[in-house]
Amino acid sequence: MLRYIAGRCLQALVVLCGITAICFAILHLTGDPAALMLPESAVQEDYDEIRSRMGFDRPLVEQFAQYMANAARLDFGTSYLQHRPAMAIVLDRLPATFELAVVAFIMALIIALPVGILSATHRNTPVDYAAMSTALVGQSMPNFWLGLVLILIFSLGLDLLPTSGRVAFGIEPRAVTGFYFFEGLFRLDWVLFSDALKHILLPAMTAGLYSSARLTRLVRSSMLDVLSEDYVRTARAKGLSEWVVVNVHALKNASIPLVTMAGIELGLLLGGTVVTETVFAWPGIGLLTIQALQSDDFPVIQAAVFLLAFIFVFVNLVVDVMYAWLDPRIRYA
Amino acid sequence: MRKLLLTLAAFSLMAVGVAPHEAFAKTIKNATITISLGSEVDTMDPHTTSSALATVFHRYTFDTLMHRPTGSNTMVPWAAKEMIQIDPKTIEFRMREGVKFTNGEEVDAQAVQFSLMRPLQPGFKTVQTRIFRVIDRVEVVSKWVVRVHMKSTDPGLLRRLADWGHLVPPKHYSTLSLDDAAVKPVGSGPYRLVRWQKGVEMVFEANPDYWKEDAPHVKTVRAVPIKEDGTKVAALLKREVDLINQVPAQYIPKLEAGANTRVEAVRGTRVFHLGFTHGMDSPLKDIRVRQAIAHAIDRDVIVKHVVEGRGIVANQPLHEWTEGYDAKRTWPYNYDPNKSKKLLADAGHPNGFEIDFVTADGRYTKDKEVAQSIAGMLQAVGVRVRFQPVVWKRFVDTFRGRVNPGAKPFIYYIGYGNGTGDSDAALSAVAACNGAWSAYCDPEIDKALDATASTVDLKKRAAIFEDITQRLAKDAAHVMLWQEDSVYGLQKDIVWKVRNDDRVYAWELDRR
Repeated sequence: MLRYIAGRCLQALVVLCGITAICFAILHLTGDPAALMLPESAVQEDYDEIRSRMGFDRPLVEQFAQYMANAARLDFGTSYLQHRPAMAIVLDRLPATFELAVVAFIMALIIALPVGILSATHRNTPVDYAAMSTALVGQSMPNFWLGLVLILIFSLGLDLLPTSGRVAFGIEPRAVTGFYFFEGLFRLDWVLFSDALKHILLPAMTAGLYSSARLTRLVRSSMLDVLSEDYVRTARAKGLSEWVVVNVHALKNASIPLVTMAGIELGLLLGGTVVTETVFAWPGIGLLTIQALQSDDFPVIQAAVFLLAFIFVFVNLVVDVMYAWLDPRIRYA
Repeated sequence: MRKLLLTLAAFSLMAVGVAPHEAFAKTIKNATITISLGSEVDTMDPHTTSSALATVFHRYTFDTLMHRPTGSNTMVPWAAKEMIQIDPKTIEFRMREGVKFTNGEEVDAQAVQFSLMRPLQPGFKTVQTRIFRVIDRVEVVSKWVVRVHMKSTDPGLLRRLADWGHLVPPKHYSTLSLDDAAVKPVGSGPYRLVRWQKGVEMVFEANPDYWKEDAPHVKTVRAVPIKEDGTKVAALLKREVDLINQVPAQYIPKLEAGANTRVEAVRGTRVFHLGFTHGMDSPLKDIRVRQAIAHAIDRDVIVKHVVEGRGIVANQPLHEWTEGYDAKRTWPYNYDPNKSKKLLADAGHPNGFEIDFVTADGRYTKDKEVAQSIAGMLQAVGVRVRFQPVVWKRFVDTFRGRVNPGAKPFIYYIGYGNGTGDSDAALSAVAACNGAWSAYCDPEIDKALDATASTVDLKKRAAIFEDITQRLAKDAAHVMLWQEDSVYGLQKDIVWKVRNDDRVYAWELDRR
């Protein structure tokens, strides 16, 4: 098992190095950063001045070597626009993205597991049709549209939830960390928790519904595969209750592909749900990355891409380990 | 010589500005106003950026020497009590005695010297060198009097000193790290930044010792960055925010009908035009072809239907409150497809021709839609355009890449926002040989623009600008299209006189 994990870690390291190098190459192929940093009235002299001040006039190879050496120390330089270390800027946004991703993920699982199981156990019945049709609709709805519709219904129509942001004005100083929702929950600070919950519900629903639709379909198909296996028939023949057959015997084996897919979904959610973050003004990494891309803030883009790649690779590593744990054949292969 | 002296004397008298007298006692209401201007400022170090948004938010915590009252292009002294034009290359500022930064340092001549020279320090990473490059030195005459000596005459400097050159306490900033300067501003402005959670909110609290007696009005101003238009409008309707900018046309009726909301619009500073790659070998070299294109475009349709009345047709590249704007100017090329076809035939293109048409997609109000309708109008007279809506970055690369070997000629749709009101900068950008957004080159126009830099007589300067815009129209250098409105959504109880320079200054906001 240890050898298996070590091998996966090594692969993850290679992936990270590759992504870091590709990120540098792509960004430098997409245009002159000085052109986007200067206003409309700038003249050639201004461009030359900026290139020299920011180091864009140095040979590309030299810039790359320096970049990789610094990246190894997690130093991606200083943001051109914010004049602060790029990694610190990205890490500032991590709690918001983490909270949104985890809550959305939990929501997705809470919906996908029972609905998927119910759909499989009631195959070709109105329950199945209704569940699958809803999943199809959930998967087809564009995130920005869904977000705006939810705002229209729950914020403007029913006046139940806020339109945007993470907490209401005046609540934020109650939090010590950037994790408002979890901090409120664990510190039993009801005011902080309830306000953070109100704010996170709509974005988490928006991000989570899409994941839940995909997971529901997967749970259903995995369960259908497993429910027709001999050991399930044996379990039923033994006289076990249907609940035990489905939720204990069948679900464990059906969960192998589910773990893989759930891992990818969590990785995607942690990678920043750009559209959801934009619609709800949610200050996460996805929104930051888009803003940095729009303004060619190379250091921030590189730090964000590195962190997102790290998160994704790490989640996949965890999935691989879980996979090996669930199915021993994999770790001995 | 006598004439020159008289002109100088007249200019000096005109330029001696005295800050308006404050007759009201300061009352700061214990109220909060929340605004959303779409994005968030990148840094609160006022000497490192030149973004339009920064020129707004930096003024909350920092003072500038000069100020532009809304609706006017005449700068008035602000943090300076008086401004005297000693000679065309020297400006004297007399500071208000006793005014202090929020850390206790005095806003004196030394602070001005430090603040204006900070962006020019060698090795200081900033994009502001262009703004102050003309400054030769800043001389401290006495504790409260300071003189700015310029390398050459630059009438635009005073205008720039209303947007940049923010005053910072010299002792504090000489030891402050750039990291701290970016997030912990210390100035003498009407507000102090008391909390900044990146991407979430900036909270400004009124500076009770602010020198201006009738400002600020409310204790707390909060800025939240909501990018998505629909969410911004929903937040206003739900009273989560009190003021939003750039309201899209489709939301205006909803806000006008809202129980607590209202809409205010004012003529904006961005003027759109169609440009041609003049220097390249193409049919566009022929003035008759350019005139044909101008005659093919129905600008009224664009304003009324495509941008849904959010502006007016533009007859010149300058806007109302800039020097050289001619209110009576008409556009010489009325919508006349038949005349357009005839001009094309006369130019040797009876069956039209093919050309690339590039526009940014997603940068300006309905940019792709406007360009698409223009493409249709051009198609109707035989100009078959290969329509290329691209992201802004790609547009910049295409525009700048026109000088590269193998580049193809093209028509482009672009808008120039002149929020500083500097006619020289605007015309240089869109019409000078090396202008950032100019594919046009007429040495005579460059000469005229150079002449404005050394012309201190305001009337003469305006006449030169007027002449330039007339020549551009005559040569069909561009096709002037439309000028955008700035539309704001507000709560009904917010008191604010909408500015026409796209600035929302915190100290001008009040709540009933």
